[in-house]
Amino acid sequence: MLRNVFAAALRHLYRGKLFAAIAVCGLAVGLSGALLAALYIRSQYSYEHFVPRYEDVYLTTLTMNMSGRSSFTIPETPAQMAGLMRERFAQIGSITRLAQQQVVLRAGEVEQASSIYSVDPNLFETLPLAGVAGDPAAAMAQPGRLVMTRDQARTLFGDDPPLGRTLELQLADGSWQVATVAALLGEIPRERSQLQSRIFISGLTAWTRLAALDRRHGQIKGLSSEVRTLVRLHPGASPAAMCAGLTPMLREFVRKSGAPEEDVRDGPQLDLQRIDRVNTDPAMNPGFSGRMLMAAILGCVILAIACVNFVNLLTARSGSRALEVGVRKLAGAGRTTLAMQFLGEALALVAIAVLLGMAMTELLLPWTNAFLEADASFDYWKEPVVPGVLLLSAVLLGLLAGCWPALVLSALRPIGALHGTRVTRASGGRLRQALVTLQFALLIGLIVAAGVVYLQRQYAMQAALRFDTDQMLIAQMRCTPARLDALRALAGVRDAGCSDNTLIGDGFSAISGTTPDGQPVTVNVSWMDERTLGLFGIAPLAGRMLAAADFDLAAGRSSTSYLINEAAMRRLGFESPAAALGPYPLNQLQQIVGVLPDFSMGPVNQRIEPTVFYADVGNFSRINIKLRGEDMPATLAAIDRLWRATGGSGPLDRFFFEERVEQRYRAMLREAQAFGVIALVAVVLACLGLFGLAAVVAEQRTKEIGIRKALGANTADVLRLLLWQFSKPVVWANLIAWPVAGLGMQRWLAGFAYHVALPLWLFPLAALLALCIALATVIAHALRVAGTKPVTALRHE
Amino acid sequence: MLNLVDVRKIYRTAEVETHALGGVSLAVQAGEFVAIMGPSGCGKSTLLNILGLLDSPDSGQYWFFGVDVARYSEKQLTQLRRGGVGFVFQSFNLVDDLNVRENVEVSLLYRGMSGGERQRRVAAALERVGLAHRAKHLPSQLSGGQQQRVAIARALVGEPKLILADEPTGNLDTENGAAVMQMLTDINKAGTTVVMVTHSLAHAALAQRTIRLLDGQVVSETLLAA
Repeated sequence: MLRNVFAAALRHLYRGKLFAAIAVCGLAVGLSGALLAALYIRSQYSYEHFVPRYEDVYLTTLTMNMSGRSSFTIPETPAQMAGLMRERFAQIGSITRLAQQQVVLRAGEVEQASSIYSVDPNLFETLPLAGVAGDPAAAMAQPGRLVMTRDQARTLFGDDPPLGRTLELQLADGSWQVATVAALLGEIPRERSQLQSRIFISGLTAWTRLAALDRRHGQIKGLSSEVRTLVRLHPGASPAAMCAGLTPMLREFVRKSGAPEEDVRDGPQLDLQRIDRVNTDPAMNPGFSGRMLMAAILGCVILAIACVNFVNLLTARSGSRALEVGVRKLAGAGRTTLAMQFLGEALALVAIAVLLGMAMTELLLPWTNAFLEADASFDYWKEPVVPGVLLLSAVLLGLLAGCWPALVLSALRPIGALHGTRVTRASGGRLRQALVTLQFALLIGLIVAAGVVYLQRQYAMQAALRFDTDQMLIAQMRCTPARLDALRALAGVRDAGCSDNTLIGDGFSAISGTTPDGQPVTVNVSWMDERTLGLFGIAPLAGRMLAAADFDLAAGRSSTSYLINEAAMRRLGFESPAAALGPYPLNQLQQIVGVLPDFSMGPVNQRIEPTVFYADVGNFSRINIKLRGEDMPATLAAIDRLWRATGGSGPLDRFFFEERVEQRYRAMLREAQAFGVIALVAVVLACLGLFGLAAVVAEQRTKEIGIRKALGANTADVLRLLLWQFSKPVVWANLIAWPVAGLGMQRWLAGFAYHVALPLWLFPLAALLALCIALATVIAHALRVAGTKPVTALRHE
Repeated sequence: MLNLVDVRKIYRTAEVETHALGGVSLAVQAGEFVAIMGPSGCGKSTLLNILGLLDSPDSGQYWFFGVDVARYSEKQLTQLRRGGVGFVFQSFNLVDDLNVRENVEVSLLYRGMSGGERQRRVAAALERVGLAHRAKHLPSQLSGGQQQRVAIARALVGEPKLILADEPTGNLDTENGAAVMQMLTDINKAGTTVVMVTHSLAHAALAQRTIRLLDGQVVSETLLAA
């Protein structure tokens, strides 16, 4: 019996091989898309899982709540916290610190700028990473020893055995030091770890940053973020109990260190965050949950489109099997037997699609990882959960896809089936119509979403950064009059100016002070000279820029005149830019000479904070160079030479501002691209489905068309009839898609401090696009059928 | 063997009631060959459907081998049909996706018969209609006459007590029509009851009895000398 049933199923598929291929491949693509999204999301939730017993390891985080600006959380604490915590909390099994420092590494010929961690000797007690050579724990107990990952060692030493080799390190002050490679670690997955450096040096080494921080013990006032403090709790110990005691401990420390009372009052907080949840913490990774939600929605949408497709094609064709049902029923087949037969067929097709989808996923995963900078893995042979979930969803999907034809076909009365009655057109037709409508609603929604993401990105990159990014080179070098003059004299340089690194949104500085009427106030501060803002094309709304006479770089005199932005103007209680000009003492600052428009060179999802701008000559750590844009390589080489000639060593850390902006918006860019790709796949899937459907409908209506033509309809009339049939679901789809997409994208946009208004024109455009896609897909069939001679059409059975 | 008592069947749509059968009573004896004639729309096919347990009457009684099945459910009818009735249609109704042997085999599939027994019976039936050499062909590769012979093989392979034929020669030329009639006559002679709907007087003449229907009523019965 199975053989007979199989023979019918296989030959049916073979005769409709185009449909079968479309249905199965479409489903495979949808499954693969959903699978990739799921794997990506899972990888994002599996940070630090390579650390043995990571469940007991916590990162100590510091949250600052400054009056007048948004609170923020950083993954670093003052260096002394670890000692205090160890004394106070019995829950701690081990506590260790990592201090990051920038160095230039040299091993023989190889030289590279890198960051390293100087660490406490007990690092590998807290993070028991396996060594692949040497004894990492013993290495950290000796000064001058370092441990690195095998991959890192390969970039420095090539294929030579690295153990026992010495590595030269140039520190920020320009001095060279040496350390010995004492052990090697296995891989630390770059995309699944918050650890940024792959080199760990014993903090007992006198010249490391950790040692320097410990020497400075007790000399520093207030709070600064210095080291990562990692805690391993005893198994089963509660972090909550410990968290309650952390903040009082911190405030006591701040008070004792003699910091100004407002530092305590501002309410800094210490918390513990399990290391695998640091990157999912909204305080430290804003927008993370939004991105995950987006990935999940995209995965679901594409799977839904593929499923709709599959069901549609399967049911559209199943009508042609009415005769088989009739014959089997005549022979005494019961309804259950027949229903099982059709369900089984659907399950078999889904199984093929799942296998294909898995293969596609394996092929696409490396690309997806590279594109999303992720480290998702698809090790289904290692994790039985993955194939288990796949199997379950395949069965569910198969049952879902198979139940309509199974129910309808198995319920056919044999007489009807044998006398050529097709499957009740009304019910099936309506279901299919609804599914096609759903599919197009998803498609229109995707097009709208992709458009909004694209427009917001454009806005962020151009309008939100209301300044000139063109030919702006930023060089990380201390600003001296000699360097500035030499730079300005270079042929390829138009002008140069000094600033700190907060100007373009790399971190921020804040000052707390008291307004003339005695109110405490905290504002951001940015330091730059008289030319820098002009280089970025920023002009004051009122007053003037700083003048060269306001400060003296050579003599080390900072300006007491300052500029404020509009946000600061409002914060300080001024009505208009002009009203703000004049004397206004704030700490050592005396006079507001200009008001700038609100601008942000940082990410657009950060609000523009009240900010003051002045020339603090001690803090000019960068030179912003406006290039002429001619003979770029020679100009860059000249700047590098100048860097060395004026006392710089190692490679000059420089970058184009435009690149930094690109980089900053890369997440958004990727989001936009992902939307584009998925929308495209969805379009293709929807087209395939519609194409198949059109073929079926055209075939089913051939006779009707013959009659219409015999009665005098011409080809154009018939064409109109057919095209209208396929336009209807698209028109209906807008009713679903517009409100859902509108609300969804409104919420997405609300996540940005500065965003475009929801572009309403996008909606009719997306609808029109979907309609064109639909019509283009079906026109071939429609033309073919509409052009058939009536006599051929009438004879069609 | 088959006994209809005042059987009525009405097809209703929203606006129209069609009295397909308006109180038909007739009896068919075991081993009989009955022809049913009448113009289009007189209720011939409805009568055949009811006789073949494909449809149920709205009122009246239908005694099928001694059991009144007029109120039987679809499921009960399916049970009864299994092996009890063989069908031959005007449009052959072969499954395009199955080859000749598989098409014939369908009749035996739902009867819990072993595969070997099925193969043996199918081979015998195909031998009987002279198509053993075509067992692996698909219906689309056969002529109309051959297709109808496959359909006859399918009807008789289950060794039913009753074969119902709905205009079995309607789609065939004279020569093939004659061959099919010969087969039905042979089957009847071997003891199987045959009820056939036909428009052809010549073919009806091969039956022992002809029943004429008009507007859902039996108008005459002609008994031919056997």
